[in-house]
Amino acid sequence: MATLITLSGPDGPLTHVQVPLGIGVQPQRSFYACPEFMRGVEDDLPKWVTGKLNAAQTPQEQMRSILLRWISGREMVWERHFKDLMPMGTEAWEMKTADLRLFGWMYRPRVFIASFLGYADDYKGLKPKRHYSDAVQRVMTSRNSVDLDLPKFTSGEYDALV
Amino acid sequence: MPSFEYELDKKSEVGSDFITRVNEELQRALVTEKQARKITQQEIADTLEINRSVVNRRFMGLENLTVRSIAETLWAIGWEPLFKVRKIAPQDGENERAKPKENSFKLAPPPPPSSPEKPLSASGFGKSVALERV
Repeated sequence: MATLITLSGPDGPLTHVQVPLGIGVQPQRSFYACPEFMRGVEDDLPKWVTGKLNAAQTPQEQMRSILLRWISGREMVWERHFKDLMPMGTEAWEMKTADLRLFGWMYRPRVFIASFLGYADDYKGLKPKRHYSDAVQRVMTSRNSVDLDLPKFTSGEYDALV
Repeated sequence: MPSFEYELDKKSEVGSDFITRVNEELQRALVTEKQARKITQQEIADTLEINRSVVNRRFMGLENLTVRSIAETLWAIGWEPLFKVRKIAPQDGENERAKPKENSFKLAPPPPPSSPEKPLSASGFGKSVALERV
């Protein structure tokens, strides 16, 4: 078993994702990512355009906005920005923007580990291209595969976690 | 694997940050108004003669807002935008456009009846717009 610091070190499987904060602003929350999430950021995200909601921000801008919101400690409104996925016992979460779904889990309070990146429209409609139940399974699979210190995830009240 | 810093070009960041601020101000206005009086999205939609889902998207920050839709949505809840611009202050050793100073977009409730300012008209005109050089 290894700590987050070790896992996000030069040879570790996790990436410590950061975003430049304003002068004098200190990070209040942490964001780590599995390799699959980073592949999504580097390969898929640059190609994506705004979807059905015709959002004002591009998906690339949305990614920066949600990272900035999370890391700088600004309010994460339940369901609008951050939401636990059903069934609740799985402790899989999604960070949300108009066009993006950042699936992952809470390792410790205020420490999110992103498993993979999804495109919101793929999960919408009567016949969605992708299903939330699969997303939950993917989160659990990647969580199990990371050699993290136990417990590998945390649970609790929203305000205490976020 | 090393850490990863997510950055966009400055132009995108400036535009995106401003959209975020406008959305947050809209949401703040609605929350404040909901706390002050019971106002529903359906009432706002009826006032604006638009679908409730459009109102919901506007307040959720999901709608691509126009200047007109910002003003009209705020008017429907009894608020108005207060818009100012100013020149970016040059920073030591940096390009003048590299670091925009805090922008000054804020929303405020309409002035009280005793205020000498002209109240917002039903047409949505009468918003205060000012230029400020810093």
